[in-house]
Amino acid sequence: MTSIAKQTPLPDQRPQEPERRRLLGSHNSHHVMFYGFLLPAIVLTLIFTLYPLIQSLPLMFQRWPGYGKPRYIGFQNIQHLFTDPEFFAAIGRTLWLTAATAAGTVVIGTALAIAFYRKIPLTNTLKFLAFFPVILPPAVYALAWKNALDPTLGWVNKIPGLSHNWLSDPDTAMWAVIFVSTIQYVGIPMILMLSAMNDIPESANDAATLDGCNAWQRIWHVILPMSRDVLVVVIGLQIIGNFKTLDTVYALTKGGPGLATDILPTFIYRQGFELSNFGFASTAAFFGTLLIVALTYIYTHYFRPQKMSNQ
Amino acid sequence: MSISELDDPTPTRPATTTTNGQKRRLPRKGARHSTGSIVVSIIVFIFVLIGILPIISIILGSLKSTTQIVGDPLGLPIPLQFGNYARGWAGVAVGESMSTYFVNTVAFSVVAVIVSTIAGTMAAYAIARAATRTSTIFERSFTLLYALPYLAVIIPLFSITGDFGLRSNPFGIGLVFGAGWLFLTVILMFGFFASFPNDVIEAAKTDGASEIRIFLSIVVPMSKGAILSCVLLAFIYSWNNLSHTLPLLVDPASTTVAPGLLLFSAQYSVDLGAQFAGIVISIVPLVGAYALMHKHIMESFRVGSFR
Repeated sequence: MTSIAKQTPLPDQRPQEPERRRLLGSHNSHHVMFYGFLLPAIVLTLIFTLYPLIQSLPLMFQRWPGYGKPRYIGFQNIQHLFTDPEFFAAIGRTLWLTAATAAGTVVIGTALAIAFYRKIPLTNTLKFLAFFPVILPPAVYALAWKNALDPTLGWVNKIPGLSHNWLSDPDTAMWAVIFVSTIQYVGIPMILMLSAMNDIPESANDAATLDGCNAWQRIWHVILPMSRDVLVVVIGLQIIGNFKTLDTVYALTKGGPGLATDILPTFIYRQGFELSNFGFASTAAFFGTLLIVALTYIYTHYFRPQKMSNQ
Repeated sequence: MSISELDDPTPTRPATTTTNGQKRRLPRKGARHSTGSIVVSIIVFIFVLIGILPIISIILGSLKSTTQIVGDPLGLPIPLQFGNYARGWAGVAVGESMSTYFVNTVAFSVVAVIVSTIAGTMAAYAIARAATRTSTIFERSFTLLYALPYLAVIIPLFSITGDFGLRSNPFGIGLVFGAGWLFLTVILMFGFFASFPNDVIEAAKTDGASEIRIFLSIVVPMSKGAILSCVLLAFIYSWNNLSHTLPLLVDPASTTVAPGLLLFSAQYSVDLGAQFAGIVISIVPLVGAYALMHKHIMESFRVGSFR
């Protein structure tokens, strides 16, 4: 990803790199081919990403119920949003869900990666099964858990000590959401950490063993530090990915009971598509997006991997 | 290494050779395992089992009657109730059958995969080959747009797809989703094309092949693995999609399996066997792909996560 910046020749250096210039023919046909290959992507991006992005700005100052002509209402949406305790509560819950799920998937995923790195019995089968939930639709996986957690039909409640109406109790509903999204996505940190561990040169392990390190010391002092960059990326990915996820919450609780599991995506979805407050939903989406982008920036700025490995 | 040591014909140190070989092999790929690693294996197995148990209970339930499901959720399905699948496939929720949702999902995913893979691969190729200042700007823009959360565009997309007549059309919303997905394809394919062997293209150019011909008959066949990764990721994410399908496929007759099953479970709770069969049907293509290509899928997710 970064390589292009290095490869891009400065204007005065161009003649020294005739190889690249010749690739797409003479100057004119070069441009024709370049934009010809880019055309489908450009057209799709203009229509379905940039145009909606621009459209979302006037929508913030409008009242629009989803049909007919929108009506301008000035700053009412923004004023409403910043005085809406439900919005801030949803942001708070989003942060909590994101942090808890990121922590859960990274810790368990790393533990699984260590186990598979050490080639425990049945490593390949267990890896296959541990990653399996990742490919399932989060909505459908959550639906399966909803059945399992159901107070009358579910098998979870038949286990002694676990009999509880997990999804209807406001105190436990969020924990259920955290649990389901953690257990579904443990596989992603697992494969990333495992491949980072497999990249560690055998000599580093051998040197540690010669120095008298036992297995645990080797994990703590050699394997984890050498996988640090990957760990940083994995945590960032989990945070950014979880921040946007609607599916698990929508399928498990729809943000309920009450608003106990209401997060930013369900808040926007409810305001827009259920309450037909499209102007207000767009305002929430705009400021929510700003927050996600800001957090992403802060994270990548302060926890920059020491060397960004690209694939 | 240990094999060559064992094959060593010099009988000077026969005993130590074997013990040395054993010692070095054990922690990485020993045939016999220590008690500790067996215990770890059992703990991991229990954890993994928790992760798949809800799916197992759905699969078992899809072959049981509703009374059996309620009475014994994890019991074996005796006798097998294959009728659930017929009712699940034809089962009606909000006036639409599961089969409609399935066909819509195929339409949605196929359009999304084709659009994002073709447009994304072509754009990545152009950017990687040109390697000019303009192409760098494009590369940066696509990376930036990839980081843009769908939440920023989903509300205006509702109004735009209405204006264009794409709303409640699985092909149309597949196009919308594919247009959003292509940024990842551009980034992944760009990473691949950046290290593509130039001399192959040079040779074809000298032979007088056109750019389109070079792309189609040399570059694409040589990029099969990378393209397959993009296809697999696009397929899994579009098949699983809820963020676009739930708000933009408003008419129940046009919706896909993920939002359809949520409607299904809300309205069809009397016949649990059929509902569970519907869930199993909805994940068959994913499970099939995973069973056949799990190594390639894991690798795609790994590279896809790194971008």
